Amino acid sequence: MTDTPTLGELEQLILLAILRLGDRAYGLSIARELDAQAERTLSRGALYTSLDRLEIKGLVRWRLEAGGPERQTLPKRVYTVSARGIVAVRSSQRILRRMWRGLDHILKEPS
Amino acid sequence: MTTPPRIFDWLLRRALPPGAAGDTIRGDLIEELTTAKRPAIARLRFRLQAISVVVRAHRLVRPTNLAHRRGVMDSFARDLRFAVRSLLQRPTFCAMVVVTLALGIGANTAIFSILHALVLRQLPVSDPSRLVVVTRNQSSLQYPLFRHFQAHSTTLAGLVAFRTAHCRLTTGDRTERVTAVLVSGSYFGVLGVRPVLGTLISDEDDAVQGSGGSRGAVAVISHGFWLWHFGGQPTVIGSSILLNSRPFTIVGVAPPGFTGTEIGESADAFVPMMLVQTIIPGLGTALNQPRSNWLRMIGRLKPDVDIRQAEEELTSLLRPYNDEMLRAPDVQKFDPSWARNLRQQRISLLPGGAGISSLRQRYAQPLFVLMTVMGLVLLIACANVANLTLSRATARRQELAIRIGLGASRAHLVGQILLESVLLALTGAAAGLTLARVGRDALLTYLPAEQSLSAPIDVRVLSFTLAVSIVAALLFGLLPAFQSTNVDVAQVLRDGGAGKSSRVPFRKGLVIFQIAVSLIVVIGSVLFVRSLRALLSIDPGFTRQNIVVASVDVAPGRSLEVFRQLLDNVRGMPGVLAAGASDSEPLGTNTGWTIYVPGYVPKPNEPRNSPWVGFVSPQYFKTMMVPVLLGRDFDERDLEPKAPAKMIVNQTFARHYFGDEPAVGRLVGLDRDTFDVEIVGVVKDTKYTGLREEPIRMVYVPYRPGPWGARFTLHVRAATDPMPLAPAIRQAVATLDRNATVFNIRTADESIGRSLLRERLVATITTLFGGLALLLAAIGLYGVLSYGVSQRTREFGIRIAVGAESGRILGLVLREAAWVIAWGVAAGLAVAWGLGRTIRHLLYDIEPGDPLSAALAVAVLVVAAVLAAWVPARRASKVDPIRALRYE
Repeated sequence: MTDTPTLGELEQLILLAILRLGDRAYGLSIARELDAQAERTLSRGALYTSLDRLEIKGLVRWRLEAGGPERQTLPKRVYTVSARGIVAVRSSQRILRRMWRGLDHILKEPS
Repeated sequence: MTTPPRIFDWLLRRALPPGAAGDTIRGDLIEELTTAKRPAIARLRFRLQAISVVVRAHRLVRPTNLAHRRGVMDSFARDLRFAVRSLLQRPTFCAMVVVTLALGIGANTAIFSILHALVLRQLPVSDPSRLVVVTRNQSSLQYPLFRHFQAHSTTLAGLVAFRTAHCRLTTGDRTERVTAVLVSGSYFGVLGVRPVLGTLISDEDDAVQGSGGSRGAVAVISHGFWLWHFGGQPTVIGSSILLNSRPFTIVGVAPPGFTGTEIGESADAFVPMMLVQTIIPGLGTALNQPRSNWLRMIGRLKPDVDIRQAEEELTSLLRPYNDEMLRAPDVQKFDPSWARNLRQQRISLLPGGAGISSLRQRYAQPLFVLMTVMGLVLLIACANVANLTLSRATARRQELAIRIGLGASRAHLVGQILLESVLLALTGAAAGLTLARVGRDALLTYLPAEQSLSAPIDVRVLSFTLAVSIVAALLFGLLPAFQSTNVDVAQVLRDGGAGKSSRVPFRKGLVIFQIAVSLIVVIGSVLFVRSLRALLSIDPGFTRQNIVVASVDVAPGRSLEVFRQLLDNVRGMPGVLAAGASDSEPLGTNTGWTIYVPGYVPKPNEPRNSPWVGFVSPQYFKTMMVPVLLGRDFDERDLEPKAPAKMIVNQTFARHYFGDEPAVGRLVGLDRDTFDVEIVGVVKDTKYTGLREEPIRMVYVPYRPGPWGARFTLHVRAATDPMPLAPAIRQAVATLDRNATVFNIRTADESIGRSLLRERLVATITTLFGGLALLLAAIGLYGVLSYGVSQRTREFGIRIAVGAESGRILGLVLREAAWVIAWGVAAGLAVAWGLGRTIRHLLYDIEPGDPLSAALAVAVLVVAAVLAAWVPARRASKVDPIRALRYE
């Protein structure tokens, strides 16, 4: 487990969304968070395959929680980011920072 | 609360993995739906999201589910590997099964490919199921009638007329014979055929008699012809070809696979009907003749019309047309029965999706008979393979018992054995396909040479093969699979696998079945062979040896001169005894004339067959060695264009009309009141239309080539083998007329043989496969007996040890075989008796129930069976008691 997995942009966003949601991160809330904060409207199929992929990579974990009447009592998967996931997010943040360095005069948004 | 759209929810349930893994996703979607502010939009969203999940469901691994899915695939792969390995352990067994199945499946595929091409395949046109063939008592139809129907029918969405013909194609200094189809301008439009290149013939191209239309004389060529003759060059459009010496502009190329609407007559070119005079010079005026029957029609039904309605309508349209014909001034000359017949005519419509075919009429039934034979042979093959599989399964009893003991489910083992069967069948089918190609090509040579049928091994044929092999696999695999997995574990393990088998009776049943079926096939082949022999021994009435026939097609202009000169030149060739010409090959007479004899009153109930007519040159009778009994042969004077009409009649004609009075010198007429044709001779009866024919009335008139060209068949008698004359004949024709074509050069013997192609086909194939059936049945019997002997080695050993003579043991085994054979023969005879009726009219001069044929077949079968039984019986009688007692 020495190598840090590299993240795709979407994977990064999903992990960040899960972190932001704390213990309320499940399929629907993750989708809504991405929609609201990242302006990304994902098809649900794409979201679930990405979550599965993250799980296989060992970056997220989940537990089952009982659902209420609003979802016909169907269970939900509540996701948390694993330690390995945190490492991965940090590493991609670091890479981004490095890449940004020295470009402020071009990329800085006018205030 | 909003409920999820039912269909999409159902789809989700189907696509998602079962249990919590899938439920969490459904839950999310449902929650989104129920908590949305605008339900209508939310429901739409639910549908879209559901689809996005469903289409990706295969990629949703849902890690908890991984193990299960991989398990199913793994277990199949494991079974497959196991099946392959266990088959490879018994290469001899596999080879025997594969060869047996390859023969059976290959033969079935070969016959099916031809049957499919001839009978089942639909034309490559749009919606072929709405096409109908327009017929009237099976005869051809008139062009004015086509126009009449086209103008007045309200039940047909469209109507096409066509006529297939052979004509001369000249490229450079080479002339060859091609198949041209004259088509009405509506042809391609109504059929819904689109060109691969250029345009097709339209109504505008078929507007002016003799010249076509604004584009002049145009032709559409078939895709095959385009590739073959023009190398698939697109520049062909606009270029010109010479058909019967007239230039035609190529305007388009028909799509691949479309070779016209007449199956067995693959078109090379399509030309407008208005140019009939160029393509078929003899039919020059036929476009305007209300009585001239020469073309075929295919119609397309309107969507809401059924075939009976259209039939009624066309029949009612036929009435006024025929009434008009009856008002013609020359009608009085015809026999009153002609008019009566005309008033009763009806149009009948037949399904036309598969096109029309003269081949189909002659060959469909024999092919179905052959298909049945092939099916029976395949059944025998399956029985054999079942027997082999059973003996193998018996050898595997211990293995199977152990696996059941270890907890394998019986269903799994059955599946495993079936998988092996399917693998074997598919391998057999793959090998069979190669055989099928060879077989199909061989079969196609049994079709008349003038006909060209393409019978590709296409998707439909391949699906047939696949279906046959799966059915075969089930036939030979299912019973053994169930039988051999029905084991008493404890007993098998105790006996060490050599436990007494209870399956011998079942296997004997299989062999009885095989013997019965092969007897049916052998009886059939004996009948067909004897029928063919009877046909071959018929005396055609002329001397058929040492004659070569050659069909010649001479260009217009100097045809009479060429004709006379050619006969003279050929007669002068070394080795030629005599030469003549006629309008047809031996036994190929196809024209009938109504002839009026003054003072002759038909007897009541006399069949109204008109006499047949042959057009012959002087010395034709000498060439064929047909004696002129009275009067004289035609001579050069009769060929003069203005010569008075003369006729030669056969014995039957003379006897029919004149009884014992002399026929020579009498005058007869071609219409009712002009008797101006003089009978100058009487010739001996021969066969005219086929070997099966009863004596018929025949007249001969002098063959005179017209100014529009000539097509005749040269008959040349040589002192010895006449075939070496063929190049000289070709040369003689080419010297006189560079544009003439010579085709179908063959001996008269061969020509007669070709009239029996159908009979020869059935006789050859049934004999071949009768032999195979016999061999398979013999192998089956051998297998069961030798298995029985090996099971009873100990018993035989003891018998011999206590003094039984080897002859007794031999008898013991042979007696057992005799029972099986007797049952098989009895069952076979009974079924053959019942089936006999279905082939009656394929036979000549022999009854399906002919006892001699049945006896012959039984004798052949019994000899083969006894030979097969002899080997194991002998082995049993030679058992060494000491070794036998040690056995196990």
